[in-house]
Amino acid sequence: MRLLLPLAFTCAVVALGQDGATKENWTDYGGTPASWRYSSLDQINRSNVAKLTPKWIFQTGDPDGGLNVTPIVVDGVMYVSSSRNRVFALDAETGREIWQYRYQFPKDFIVSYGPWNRGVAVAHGRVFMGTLDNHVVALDQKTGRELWKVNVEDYKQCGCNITGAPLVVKNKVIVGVTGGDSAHRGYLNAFDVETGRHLWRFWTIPAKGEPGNETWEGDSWKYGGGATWMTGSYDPELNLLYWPVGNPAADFYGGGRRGSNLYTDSVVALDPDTGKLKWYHQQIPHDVWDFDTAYECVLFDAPVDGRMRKLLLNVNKGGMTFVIDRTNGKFVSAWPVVKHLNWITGVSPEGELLGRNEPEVGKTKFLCPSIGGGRSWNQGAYSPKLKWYFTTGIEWCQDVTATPEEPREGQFWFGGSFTPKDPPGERAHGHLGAYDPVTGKRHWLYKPTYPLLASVLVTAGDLVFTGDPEGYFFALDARTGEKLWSFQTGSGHRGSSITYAVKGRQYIATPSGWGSALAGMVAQMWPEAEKFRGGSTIIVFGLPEER
Amino acid sequence: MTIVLALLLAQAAAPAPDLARGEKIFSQSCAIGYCHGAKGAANRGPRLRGRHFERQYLIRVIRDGIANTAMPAFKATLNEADLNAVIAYVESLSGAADTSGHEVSSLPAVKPAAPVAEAHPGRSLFFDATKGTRCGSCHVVDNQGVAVGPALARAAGTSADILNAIQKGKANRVRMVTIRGEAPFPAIVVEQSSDTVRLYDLNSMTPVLRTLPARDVTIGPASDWLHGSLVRGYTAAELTMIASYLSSQ
Repeated sequence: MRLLLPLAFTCAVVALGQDGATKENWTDYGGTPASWRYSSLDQINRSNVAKLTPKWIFQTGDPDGGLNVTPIVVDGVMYVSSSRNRVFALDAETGREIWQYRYQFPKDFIVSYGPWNRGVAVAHGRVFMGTLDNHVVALDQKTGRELWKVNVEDYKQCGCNITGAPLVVKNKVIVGVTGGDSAHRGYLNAFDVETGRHLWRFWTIPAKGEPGNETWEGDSWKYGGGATWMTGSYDPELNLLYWPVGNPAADFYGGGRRGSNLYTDSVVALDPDTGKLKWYHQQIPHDVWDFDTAYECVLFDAPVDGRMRKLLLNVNKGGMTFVIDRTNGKFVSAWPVVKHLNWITGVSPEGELLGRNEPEVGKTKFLCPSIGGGRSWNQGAYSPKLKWYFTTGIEWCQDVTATPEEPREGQFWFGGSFTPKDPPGERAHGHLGAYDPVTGKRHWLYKPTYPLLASVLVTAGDLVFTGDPEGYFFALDARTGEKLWSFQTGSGHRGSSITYAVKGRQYIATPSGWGSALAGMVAQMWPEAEKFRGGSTIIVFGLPEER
Repeated sequence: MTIVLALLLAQAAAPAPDLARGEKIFSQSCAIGYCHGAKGAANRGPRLRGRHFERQYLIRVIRDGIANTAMPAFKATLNEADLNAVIAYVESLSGAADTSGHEVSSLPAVKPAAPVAEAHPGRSLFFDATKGTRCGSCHVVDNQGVAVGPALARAAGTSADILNAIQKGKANRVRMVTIRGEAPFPAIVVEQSSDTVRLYDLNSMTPVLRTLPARDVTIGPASDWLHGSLVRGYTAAELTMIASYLSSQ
């Protein structure tokens, strides 16, 4: 006879705007469409986290590319996607498989940009996933049966595919695309959740005759990158869809695309009903570093100069965090998540980059951070309770050389090469910090052995969870950064942990499975990482049952 | 085996592969962030620097790729001279130290050229990525494109016939379909069993492959759907050019 622990929901009171906290369910890629990765569950907290034990383990069976997913949990069922577009529906209490789906690839299919998948979206009785051959599929949530499948663009022509999780807004499933390092013109698409019919396309690079096209030289707009490879956010009150747009192509050589290259390296705010641009905020005009404004848009409210503001936070690959007003895109503040940053000397009070330090043709330049990112795509977390933002950072640099290359449609187009290097005066390393999201004031910094490449989860129990490349999944005290618990899961972490509740019990779930493009780069900097074991496993933890 | 032999013989007769060219192609196609790393120092793909590979193995893998992996068949994208240059370059890495390279590239800077023009302007238009809906979204020609509608490898007739079909053609395969709860729409039925119907819903560009319970679907007569409704993104002059390209196939 087990006693159920009382499950108290701490009211994460936010004076204005949306509540981005999750409760029993983890409904969206970022927890909710506000992308907080914060749960109001506090049954597991600082007082009892040391007692966490594994409850069940699920193996997807295919470790290629690792396990990069953020699981979704709806009403006691967990939905997990793994490499090569496999989807599993699992009983979230026991780990029992309810159904599995294997996407069928064309016979001559070749993986570009890697086999991983970062997650599905679940809504309207359907499970939605983007595929490696650039389709979107809708599956029956109960059976896993395919209901519709639509081609976004011929993957062989565009050299692009879908690895990010879709976002459902009202009756639309919104899906981004990779291809930002190829000669390709990026876009964002919306499909009808019921029929799969195409509803709108937003091109991230305006066509001839459209405003913004003048920021591209000649025909460079046709091949200028601007991928939408990660997942956006949504504010239902403002009815605005926010999507981060990645770097322009070629990555390191901008000679053929003089101009600010809109809307690359921007956060765009769209009307989700029409796909029309409402406003944009460009972080990096004419990016020549591949510093990709591609990561999560955290929607939160905070006082700025004594006035409550609706804000949006976005960390880019260059290690710079930009905070803007999410009602109009106006710049509010910028702060770095890394110490070693020399591609600019700073950001002006108006949000303009100062002292640009650009790669040069035929010359090797030492630039920080590395193209691998002052932070990678694994997401940070925001606690409305502490009003802090938690994010990882990587202190590493690179030698980079720009090389003019001719674009070939759908083919990789980097325009240079790079070699990761230690930063000046110290060994490369990573960290996880707690920051004031507006000012960047740091409250604590945790330093692991290897850089952390898994997303961060924060809970109302004042716990921060993440995992490391060696396989340890661990909990820190969100108030101090002190390590309270850790568990060796058998393979490194590159996905995103979540928390949920079934029948009044809180669980913590983490993917374990080392892989991805960056895992390879880590091995260049830390040769022993070449031997880190792969895997593809979901491990779920809970408190011991009381007798 | 004979292919490899022939290749080796061809190699013997061919001029020495251009290592600098091989390095340039490698840096653009193989060293990139997702694969073998700068100068083969490893990335997500395996390290090549400081490792010895059998020449025949290199030839096979670089030309034909490795099935079910991220290693593509470069014979599809590189010509013979470039393939040989890359093979020679990868071979040259075997003697290199197993560390990431530091040296400044010796390659001279070149001006970026415009993208290589397609052989026929009609072909470029057929696959024109600036068009939201383009011919290649639904048709395969010369092994490229998406096979929703018929392949156009042997499109019969003169350029004028083809232009007429593009603009005014009706498709017998396209039927009006009614699904419970939805307005009737034109569709191509691709599979039909006692319990399931799979069809391409043409009310969307690109078409949606929908799997539906047979009991919910009524397949009506041939639709009055016109192919011309799809090609509004092209000018008349562009369509004439495309017709000319298809008639030359």
